[in-house]
Amino acid sequence: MARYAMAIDLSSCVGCAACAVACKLENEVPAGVSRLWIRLEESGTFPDLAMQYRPEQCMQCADPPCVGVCPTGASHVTDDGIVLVDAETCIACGACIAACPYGARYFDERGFVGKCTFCEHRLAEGRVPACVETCPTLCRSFGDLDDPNSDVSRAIRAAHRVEVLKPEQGTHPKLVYLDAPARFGLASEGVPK
Amino acid sequence: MKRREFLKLSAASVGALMVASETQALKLPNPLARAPKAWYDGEVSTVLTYCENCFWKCGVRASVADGRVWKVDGYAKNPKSRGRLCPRGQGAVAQTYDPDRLKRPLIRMEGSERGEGKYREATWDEALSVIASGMLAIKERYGSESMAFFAHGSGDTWFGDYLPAAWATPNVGKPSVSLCTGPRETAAQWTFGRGIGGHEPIDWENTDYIVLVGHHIGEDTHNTQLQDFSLALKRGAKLVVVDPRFSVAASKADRWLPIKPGTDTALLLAWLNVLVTEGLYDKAYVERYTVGIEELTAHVQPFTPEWAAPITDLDPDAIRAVARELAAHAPRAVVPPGRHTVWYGNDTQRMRALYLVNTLLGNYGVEGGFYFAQPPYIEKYPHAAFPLEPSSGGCSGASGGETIDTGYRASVDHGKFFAKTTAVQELIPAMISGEPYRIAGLIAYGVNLFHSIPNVARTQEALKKLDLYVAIDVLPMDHVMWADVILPEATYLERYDDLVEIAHKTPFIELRQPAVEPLWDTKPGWWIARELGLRLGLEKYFDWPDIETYLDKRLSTIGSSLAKAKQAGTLVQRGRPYLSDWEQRNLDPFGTPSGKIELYSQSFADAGFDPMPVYEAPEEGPAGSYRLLYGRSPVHTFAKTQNNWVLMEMHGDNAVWIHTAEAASLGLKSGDYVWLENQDGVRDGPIAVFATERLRRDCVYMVHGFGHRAADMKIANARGASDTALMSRYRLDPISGGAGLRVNFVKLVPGAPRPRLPRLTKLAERSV
Amino acid sequence: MEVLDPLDPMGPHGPIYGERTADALSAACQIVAALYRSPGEGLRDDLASGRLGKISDALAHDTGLDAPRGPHAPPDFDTLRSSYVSLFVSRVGGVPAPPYVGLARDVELMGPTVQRLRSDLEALGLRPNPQWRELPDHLAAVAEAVELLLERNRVGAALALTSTYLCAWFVRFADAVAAADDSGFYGEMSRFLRSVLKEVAPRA
Repeated sequence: MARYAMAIDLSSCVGCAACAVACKLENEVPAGVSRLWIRLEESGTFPDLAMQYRPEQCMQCADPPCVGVCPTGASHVTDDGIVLVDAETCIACGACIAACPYGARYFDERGFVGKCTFCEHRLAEGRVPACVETCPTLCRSFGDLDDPNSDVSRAIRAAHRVEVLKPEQGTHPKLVYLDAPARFGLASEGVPK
Repeated sequence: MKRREFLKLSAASVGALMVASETQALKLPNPLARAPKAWYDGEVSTVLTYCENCFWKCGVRASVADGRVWKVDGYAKNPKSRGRLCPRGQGAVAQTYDPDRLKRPLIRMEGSERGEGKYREATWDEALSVIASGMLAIKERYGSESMAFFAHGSGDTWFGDYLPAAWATPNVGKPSVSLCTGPRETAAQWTFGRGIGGHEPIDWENTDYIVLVGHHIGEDTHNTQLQDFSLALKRGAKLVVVDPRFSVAASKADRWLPIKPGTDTALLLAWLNVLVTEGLYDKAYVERYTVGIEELTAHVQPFTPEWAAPITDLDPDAIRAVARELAAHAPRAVVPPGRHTVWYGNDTQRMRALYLVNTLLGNYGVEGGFYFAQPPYIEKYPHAAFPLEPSSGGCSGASGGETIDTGYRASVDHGKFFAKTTAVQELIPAMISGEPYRIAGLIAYGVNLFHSIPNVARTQEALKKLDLYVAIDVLPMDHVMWADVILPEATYLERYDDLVEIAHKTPFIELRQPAVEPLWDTKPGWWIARELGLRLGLEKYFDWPDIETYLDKRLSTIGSSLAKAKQAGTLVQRGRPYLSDWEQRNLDPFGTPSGKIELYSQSFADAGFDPMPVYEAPEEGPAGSYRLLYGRSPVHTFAKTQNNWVLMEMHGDNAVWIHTAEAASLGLKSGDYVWLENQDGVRDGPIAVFATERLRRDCVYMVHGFGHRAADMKIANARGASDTALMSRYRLDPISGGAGLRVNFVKLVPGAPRPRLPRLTKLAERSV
Repeated sequence: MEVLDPLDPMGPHGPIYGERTADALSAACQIVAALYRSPGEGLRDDLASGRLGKISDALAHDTGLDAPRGPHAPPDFDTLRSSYVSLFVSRVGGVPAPPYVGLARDVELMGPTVQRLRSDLEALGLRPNPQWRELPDHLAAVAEAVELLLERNRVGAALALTSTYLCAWFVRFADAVAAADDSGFYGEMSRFLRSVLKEVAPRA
């Protein structure tokens, strides 16, 4: 059983949104909602400026608050550590949407809750999630945390800074951010791009 | 007799359906089925082709299920995509399934004006016949040169090269030349004797120090370049960004030089000064491969960092430091040329200065600098010899001897500038004035006439005067709905095109093949060109019956075939990237008159131009106005993608960037709406204000490509404003023919109404 | 009077649907199929001969609605052709009313609704004509399917198709046409057909 995780190198990300577009098409995400979005933070005054682009999506938490609140068990964690929603048993009550501190879930008007699935359908074929595969700055890595030679394990080891969003929530995200530009902590304020 | 049949409408039996067998009982599932089947759960087939959503042409793998393309991805073996795609590439599928696409040929209603937008549908036969008879009438009355062709995109091989050459007109214009790369190509031709080409030959993987001058990598998302740039930085390469704006690239830089717009040449001259006066340049390289170092040494003496500092509004120590750092890392130090270089009308000389800096670093043809991009070897289709070769020059511009074919007049812009190419914006005056001779007809293929060519009013005046105006396109862009005949091309996922030949470290050939059948009654460009050619009496040039025959024949010249190419997608060859590869074969890569890199250009001197670059101060604008600068969004390509709902969800509008202090002095804040009014009183907008620290106070900035105008404002599609509309003025570069576009100044006029537009999430649904 | 169809699961179990209402639905679909496609000789003839007017009037009478004036005093044919293009085919700023039944639900063309429609039509013994250079969920094609089924007395199937694919969407479509072509021929006809379908369409 793997323990899937993703790392995003914020020193490389340029906020181009290739990942967001790829996700939209790969997963037929309806118009108006997103599994993946880019946040832009700026700081400073001319000419002493800094910027950070930060993609956000489901953090695939090791302690996901969205699972316990689900009345039907539709929201569950697989043996590989991926948090998923079974659309058949989901009753779209919205409890999980409220419980997620990252805003990662949305209502699909077809009657269930949607979210990032780490492109589970690709993993079965030995491929990586669509966002990881397409990124033209190669800032995303993915793989099994329990495998020291996986891309994500190596990326985490090589990084100077490894951070998560909202650590105070105790969710233990398995999506981690590497080497955020020095001026930025991972404040969750910022202009969504 | 059924009760209903006593009265039947003839038009009702459209013949959309046929009754097959009366089969089993109907099981209509709940239409809003939950957990719908995903596309990838069905039977998926894949087709290798290349993308058309910008000019980079990345190889893609299209995933097809149920007769529809659901996703495109890169593939590893393609040297452009290397398995990855930029956001435009990923989002291109949405264009194929855009309900606004042109569907069938349209003919303008008789008695209506160009621009009124009144059309009826027509068959291909009728539409092509109308065009052919119009063209033949023009040829009869004014000569074949009286037809102009403007072209952009992969099909420009048909409408920018093949058909105009067969028809015999030199008046072929490509905006990608005189409105984009012209100055950098011309400067490179006369400095190195080689162009830059469509795939910039920067040796990113081996470089240690990068200086970008007005180059917005990261907002400009040419896939491979962005990949290579990112990898270089990850590897520890240092980055300096010279830009009046804190671009995405600037945010990754070790040093950002917020230069005053229009003064880049002064900075480049100062770097030449430091490299020369401090003896930091690569003497062995210069000795061996260049001419003119004595002249250049004398020439750059006055251009010290202290001289450049007040001009550029930069710190002289920073200027000096960058020159020294470049030298310290040379030859693995590079100043890439960028792509869109038509800025101020003296751009060829600025590019010369940039190339001279690189040359003094000894990086041209060397690891870490510029490599030599060789074109792949493959032969053209053995068609009958064309009456003349088109002089549009393509992306690389023309070099070498110019041949004006006897028996045909030169292009109407001949003599307006030095370079051996055409300039699309210089082909327009002849449509109005009839001088030096009249251009009476225009075929515009894939070119957005109102969002690329400056002085939109002049373009519209010209269109009104034509005898024949034909637009071939995929979407009903503003200028398309002015044409007399509109031909709907199939999108790239639905068609073949001619082979793409990429000059590169490892030169390669890409195949485009259809993934699905064309929707509606759209046709590929090759078919349109051929059908038109047959009706124009040009059948001897179109002796190939179909595109498969054409492609197979071409591929056979390199021992391949269409079948093999369809499997492989890309055919890669060996290149000659470095000087050593040329010297080994006793070949001289420099196609200059002297056979060496020309620091001093005798050819320019002979033509009356400065043989070495000098600084020319830019004109200042009227008081209270700001120089209008523009650039790219990573999710948009020019004015091409603003109807793509997936990409518009990511970035649905443009705004005018202005420094917060300037905004405050005008009583404006972010989110206010203004009109932009230029020095000639031309207005565009409304556009939202973005008050930011990321910009100098003397300029404003906006993303290009928005501000499409609806013919009927009830269906308000006008999102953002058009920078092109505000470019009523341009400055012609007398060397390259490029149109300097950053010479307009705008005022922000407050009080514009906030546009009431459908929410973007409703965009895909339109009003249904 | 009950309409029974041995091939049709909705016959004995579905709503009771009168013959007059079936007639009205058939007439409505005929008009839809005739109107929302590129105006050709067939439509020109139907207007000149008064056939379209007669059918509209009969339909108005059967449903208790006001008959539209358009079929009796249509605009000249050229105006009709350019209106058609401008409303349904190609326009700068976006086509106001793309006539594709699946578009609203799927947000894009050739989406899952279209795939489902294709397999439903196949199950009903209807196949697309390869000469038909339009998308499978074009309004005229769907209306023609309903009409063909009604002709073969497969009323339940016709109703199922109508309620699944046509009804709710047609309301929005007709509103879009009416908004873009307020005083025009297509605007008036769309408002009329919208009201007709509300009357004759089965309750969901």
